[in-house]
Amino acid sequence: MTWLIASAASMWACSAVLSGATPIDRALPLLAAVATILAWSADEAAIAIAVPLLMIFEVSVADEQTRLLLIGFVMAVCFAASLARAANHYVLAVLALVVLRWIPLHSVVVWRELVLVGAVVILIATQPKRTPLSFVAAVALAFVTPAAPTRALLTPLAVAVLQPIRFPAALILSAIAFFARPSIAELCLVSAFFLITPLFRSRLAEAPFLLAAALVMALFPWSGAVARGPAFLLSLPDRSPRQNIGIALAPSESVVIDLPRGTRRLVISGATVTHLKKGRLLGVVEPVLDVRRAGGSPPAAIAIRVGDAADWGYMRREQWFRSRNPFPRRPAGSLHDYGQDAWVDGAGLIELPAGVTRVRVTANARLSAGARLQIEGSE
Amino acid sequence: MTYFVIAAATLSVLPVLVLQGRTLAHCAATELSLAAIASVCWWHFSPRVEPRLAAVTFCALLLTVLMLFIARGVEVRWSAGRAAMVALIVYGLCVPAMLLTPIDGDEPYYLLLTDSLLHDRDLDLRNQYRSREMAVTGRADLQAMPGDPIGPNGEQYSRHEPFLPALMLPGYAVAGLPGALATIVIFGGLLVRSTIRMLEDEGIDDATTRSVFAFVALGPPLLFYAVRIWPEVPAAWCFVEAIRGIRQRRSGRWVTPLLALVLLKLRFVLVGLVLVLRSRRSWLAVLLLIPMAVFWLVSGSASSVHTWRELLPGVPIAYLHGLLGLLIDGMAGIAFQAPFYLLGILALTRWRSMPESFRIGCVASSLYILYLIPRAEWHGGWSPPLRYITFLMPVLALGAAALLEETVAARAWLAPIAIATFALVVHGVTYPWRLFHIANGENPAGEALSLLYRSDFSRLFPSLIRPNLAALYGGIALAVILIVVATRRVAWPAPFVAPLLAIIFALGFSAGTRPAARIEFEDAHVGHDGGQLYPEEYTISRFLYTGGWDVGPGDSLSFLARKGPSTLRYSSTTGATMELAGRAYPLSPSSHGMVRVELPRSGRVTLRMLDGHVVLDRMDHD
Repeated sequence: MTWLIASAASMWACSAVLSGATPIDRALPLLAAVATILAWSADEAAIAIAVPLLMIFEVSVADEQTRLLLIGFVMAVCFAASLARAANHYVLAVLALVVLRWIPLHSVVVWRELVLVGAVVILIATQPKRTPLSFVAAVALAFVTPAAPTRALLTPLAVAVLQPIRFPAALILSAIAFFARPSIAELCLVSAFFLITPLFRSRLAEAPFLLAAALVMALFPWSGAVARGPAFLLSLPDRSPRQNIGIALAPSESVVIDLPRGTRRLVISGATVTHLKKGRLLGVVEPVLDVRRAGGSPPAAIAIRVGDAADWGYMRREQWFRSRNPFPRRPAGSLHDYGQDAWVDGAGLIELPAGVTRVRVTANARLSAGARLQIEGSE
Repeated sequence: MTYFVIAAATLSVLPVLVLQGRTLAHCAATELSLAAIASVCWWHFSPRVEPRLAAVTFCALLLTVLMLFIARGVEVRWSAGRAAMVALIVYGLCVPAMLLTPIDGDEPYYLLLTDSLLHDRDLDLRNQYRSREMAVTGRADLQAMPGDPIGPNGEQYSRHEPFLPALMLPGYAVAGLPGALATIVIFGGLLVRSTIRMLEDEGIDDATTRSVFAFVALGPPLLFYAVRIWPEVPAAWCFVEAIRGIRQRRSGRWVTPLLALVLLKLRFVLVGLVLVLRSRRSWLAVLLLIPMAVFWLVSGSASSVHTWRELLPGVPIAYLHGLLGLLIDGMAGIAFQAPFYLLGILALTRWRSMPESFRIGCVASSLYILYLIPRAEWHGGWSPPLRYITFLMPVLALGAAALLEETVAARAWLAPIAIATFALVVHGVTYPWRLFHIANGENPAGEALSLLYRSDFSRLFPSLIRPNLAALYGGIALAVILIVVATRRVAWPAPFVAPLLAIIFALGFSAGTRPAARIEFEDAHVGHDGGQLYPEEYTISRFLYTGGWDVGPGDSLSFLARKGPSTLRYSSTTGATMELAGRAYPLSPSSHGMVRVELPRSGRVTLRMLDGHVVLDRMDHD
């Protein structure tokens, strides 16, 4: 009863200070409730101090990204502290999924998420040994499982069934991951990881994965992007100043673009190309030499393939499962939206030879009718 | 960047000094995780944070992790000596942060005295006040303070006692200003060691001592005074040693530190007197004349700049004013500047069960406090907060530790106190110049929120420098809490600590965004377009003046105000005309002028000066 009142009071207090415009800010009362329940579960009232801390960050940090990072950090510390205090894994898992998957609330399809909650409970219940790593693995699997299509929801349950033959199953899943499209590959790899967690005997071996889990929780304000594109965390962020171009080429269409002096890269993405596998040709870039300066052999045309760039919205929640586009080799995409809706667009960088001030970009004629090659900008 | 790397690396290695085995491994893993997460976040998201603030916050987080493991770890190599080593290293890392701006307050004067002792072998500062000699302080604007003693041959002496400069002499001779600071840092380490020993002497268990260590050694005010040139930390060390000597009933043990205490600052003679009387060797009180003799020999005045009139009682309300200020003032009170020591204040309500050293220390300082609180400068003047009672902090720490051992409810408050302490430390180390506040009734937190929301948040913090309604409510709340703790009738459940703070914060935020009944025109929430602060920022004893904003033709101020009639107070020698909410108001010449204004609606209004000059003080809603 005490904790219930504490939770209600915390939620009310957070609702009174909402000032940010993002879904994460609007979810502050929910986060307050989660922090309070974590404190109850771990029997450590100090964890609930996260509530006034969240409120302080909400009202005093004007910069959106900094504020969301701080909120993420606070929640990560709460979960880490609860796990360290051997809180109930079932409670922890449900709360983790609420934070990672239920924000923004308006995007949640309740019955699908409840199925996943049930699945993670079953995963934890069927684990041979409950350790922080096994808990993390169970939550990770539920985290990366897409809510749609329905068959994907069954993945955690299927993995639970495979536990008696965990090691051969892990090998097979790893092999499948090598050939499958990115969404399936991710599911297979995380499933395989879950199955082999009993192999980890030492804390030293577990440490990197626990760290990764803490990082994922700290980045829950953009959990969708983390779930669907973890590679973006390892990539070098693109901070070069960009000149916007904004041209979309239909198949076989071509355009000549004058570029500012010193341009070294084009920023390219695709539209309606999620079905294309890695290596498929999207178009070509031909540097056009100035006639007055022409001399020597012209630079070769540069092929733009899937893998250099991806469909602009390939990582969106509704497109991810069917997408065959991999994460761009040199990503130039920006982060969009928040929470489970967050995604990184599929823009990629195409390197140009030095001194080029004019290029012809031609879309592949064999692209489907609705597909487009988008020239976003230059850097 | 280099400094940050050195600091982070040093803090990362620090756990080896005090932890071992699995606890050390877990601490290292946690710190690495923190570093990894911080790196990824910084790398990818480039948060718009001042790099200096980010660096200090990261280092403070590393230190916090270590302190958590020291407090809760199993395999901890704990001793007073190791605690002192940790403190010394942290203080040493903080010194460069403090040197970001030139030394301030009394610090340059102590340094000049040291320089004079080293080079001139005297205390005559006439040559030191010339620009060339002042370069060592980084200040070119130093002059003798009004009232500083003048010798028979025109010597310019300082009001500050020469004992601290004498102590800093060796360090200063070797390494100049950093060497002088190193002397204070060493005293900081000695103080930490002595404080831990005092806790151990009084039977405080190991776990509790380790829990309070971080708050005492690495929290305000001791942290800030251990890395700056003030006598407060050496004085605190002398005080603790004197108490320990009295407890051990060895007069040889406490007489020397007591003498040193009074030599450091003559005001501590009030402490020494009570200690001596309490020691049942009252005749030793004559020894307290030695420091006075030294001062007389040095400056020709046994009491330096103090007069016997200071011993006369002040007006009764001034005592309440100063006492409440020391406890709850937003800028200069324990509650907001060193919240951990509130537990020490609460320990006073459990007098009989408190350790003997705590009672000795509190009784010894009572006369000193009695003479401090009615003074106009009870808040310390131009110095980091809590200057005049920093020496008492180890004693309060002992009381806090004893209270934590006695009551479970007290432990529930450690988490919010830790958060507040963390924020204060990060703020003070990142912006050391903000440790000095102009004592206008505002405070850094209130000013920051006021600037962000352009609404008066400072009024929500109690102020006894510029008394406000929050001070009244705060005083009542404090009285209630003291009564509750003393009677032990109600224990606040641990799960309700965070929600209580959250509710207070929510109510405060809601109130803060609404127009205030009183608008002080010099405050941060007022938008100033032209004009200047009156009196100017570095006016000596500025807190004694009625401050305001000096405006002339074309200047304007914007602020949130309430609808309806208000009274505006001003002073003007020439008279002026101002426009407010579409109406013009003539301001006749007056040193304490008042004009009634009428605002048609609540919200943001702009006051424009049409002609003349006026110092606008405040506006009160009727």
